[in-house]
Amino acid sequence: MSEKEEYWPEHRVFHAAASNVMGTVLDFVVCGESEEKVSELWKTLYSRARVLDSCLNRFKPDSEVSRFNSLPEGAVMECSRDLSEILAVSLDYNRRTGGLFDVTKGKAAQLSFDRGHLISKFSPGVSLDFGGIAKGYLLALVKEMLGQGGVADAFVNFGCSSILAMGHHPFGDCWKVSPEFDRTVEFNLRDTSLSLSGNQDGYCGSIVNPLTGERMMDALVRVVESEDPLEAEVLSTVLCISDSQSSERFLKEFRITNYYTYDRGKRN
Amino acid sequence: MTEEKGIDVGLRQFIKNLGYVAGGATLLASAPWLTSCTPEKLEEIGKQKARIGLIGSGSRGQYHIHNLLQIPHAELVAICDIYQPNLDAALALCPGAKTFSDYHKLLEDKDIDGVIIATPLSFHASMTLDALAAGKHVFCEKAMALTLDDCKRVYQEYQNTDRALFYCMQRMYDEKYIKAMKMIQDGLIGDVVGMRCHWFRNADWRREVPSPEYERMINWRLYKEYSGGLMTELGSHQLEVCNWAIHKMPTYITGLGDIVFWKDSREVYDSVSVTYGYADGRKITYESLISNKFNGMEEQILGSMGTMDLSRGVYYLEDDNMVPGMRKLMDEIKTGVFASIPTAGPSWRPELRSAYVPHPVMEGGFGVTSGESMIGAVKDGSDVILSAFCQSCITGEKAKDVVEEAYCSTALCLLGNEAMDRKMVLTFPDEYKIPYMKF
Repeated sequence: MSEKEEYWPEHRVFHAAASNVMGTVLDFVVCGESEEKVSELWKTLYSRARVLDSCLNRFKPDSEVSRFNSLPEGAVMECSRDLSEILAVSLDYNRRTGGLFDVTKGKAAQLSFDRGHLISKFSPGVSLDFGGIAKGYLLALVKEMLGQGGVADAFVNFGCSSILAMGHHPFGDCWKVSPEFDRTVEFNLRDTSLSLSGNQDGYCGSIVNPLTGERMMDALVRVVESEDPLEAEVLSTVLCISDSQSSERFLKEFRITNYYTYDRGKRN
Repeated sequence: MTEEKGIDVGLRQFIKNLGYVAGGATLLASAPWLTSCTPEKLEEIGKQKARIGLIGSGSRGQYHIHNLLQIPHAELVAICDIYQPNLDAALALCPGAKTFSDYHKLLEDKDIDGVIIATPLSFHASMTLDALAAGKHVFCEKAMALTLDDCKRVYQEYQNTDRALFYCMQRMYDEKYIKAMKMIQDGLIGDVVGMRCHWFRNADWRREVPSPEYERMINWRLYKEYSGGLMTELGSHQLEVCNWAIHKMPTYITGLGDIVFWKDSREVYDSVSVTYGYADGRKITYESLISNKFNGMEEQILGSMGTMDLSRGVYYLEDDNMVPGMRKLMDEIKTGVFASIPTAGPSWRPELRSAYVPHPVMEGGFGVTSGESMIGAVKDGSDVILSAFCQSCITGEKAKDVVEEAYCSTALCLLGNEAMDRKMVLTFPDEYKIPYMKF
């Protein structure tokens, strides 16, 4: 993980970035605050992101998730507060989506979790993957932290697929964001978050329906806007694999502001 | 010209740009030699002028004259050369100066505070020692000397004199180098794991001679009696920045040198490849060739998290933080533009990035030299170091570490030549170590 900070006093704009946070890049822009204040906020966030990365990154052999994934059947592991919290939230979304959101890839029933920090598995094949929720989870923490810090205007870009926009751009009334694959489209974001899921050219099949094992192979990109970064994150993945009836229900039951699908940049 | 313009103003601004605050120590940690030429000290000298004598008025000497004429606190009062056409050309630039053909006579002139030595390398040591003995402050071209014994002699004499001695290691006074070094020392590129320098030109390094008896005098760079070849003429600058970057000296030296292309009776190599090994396993890979210029001149400090390209004033990060669209956003905010940020996508996969993104060390324009000129480049720090020297001629204050840095880089050049000549792996000789060196 590396970090970079820059501040332009003229516009009171702070930008910092950290790479290798859950395998991607976290960009943090705050406007209208003193360098001292926002630099402190960034340090806190950066430190929090590092802790979460060491907990949730399944590509790091010594992460907490990796340690759990390599446990033998029946072994019990005491998990950290972070892992416990995100697992509890994930299992709740698993219930609310009828199993379509599943950090265990369809094996939630073979997981024992008492919410008292003890976790074990009934079969050796059970593993955890928080790729569908971790970024939203961190963005929710960022939103809370910035709100408590009295920050009104901020733009946080977590790997391009998860974006938190608070307040507005220094020279506009919102934050305008375009998809890389179609720059004619603009999302006007203000106090909201955006999550995008789907396949890219030459990189398909990473989203799997946990109930059927079927890989999602279509060319649609799902874009979910919500005031809650967690809802946006979870739903953008779930809507990739849910049928139309379930999708309709989720859009009513979850706090979704807008939902779009794109096929080669065409809004439906 | 007025005193409101020129190199002094540039020097003051340059030091302020580096974050200098009177009494502060931040700047001085990465470039302690600047303590002798702070803006406050420049104010103190008022309208005093350093009276300068120039020894050696060839192309490099004339380059220094052009810079001297821009320095308000300097006055060129005397010029010395044994080659009349060069003396005439220099006098044309500064018609009021006295002229000499014997530098000893120039050194006897009590009206001279300091001298610039821009002669062939083989004369550097003797002329420097004579000038110091005559009570002059000295600004000498690099490298320090043609032999390690002469380097040691000058170094020891410097310990016993109160005169200022500068070597024209202009990168030490180049703003982009100083800022870059501070970034390296602050950890921007992580742990320094190696260094890679090269200087490529495509030119024979020859100058026209009016008749054969002037061949060795004018084309002195080609003959071992006068010159250390590519290592001392080019490599000395680049090896100095390697030492500066990590404050350590290599223990082992090996390399290969050949005359590959310019087979014209020259004695010095036209192709060198030298490896310097540190005790901890790090290495400097140094290469210079003057029959192909494709790779130009570069000094790369390689870190575990990035690469600093000193000569170009840019750095590259291994894991670049700047995702697509974010640079555009930041540039637009700086210029007051509100537009869409083209950043959203299903995911960002860093392995797709096809090229490293250069990040400038400094905002705004700054000088970057191609390394092709045989004389000198504009705004490469040569003017600033000369101004600092002239200031020292008035104040008498030595510039910290300049002689030590020159000694270290020259020693590496000369040992590189020896390793190539003997086709051996050399160990840095104990007798030429100085307390400044850390291995």
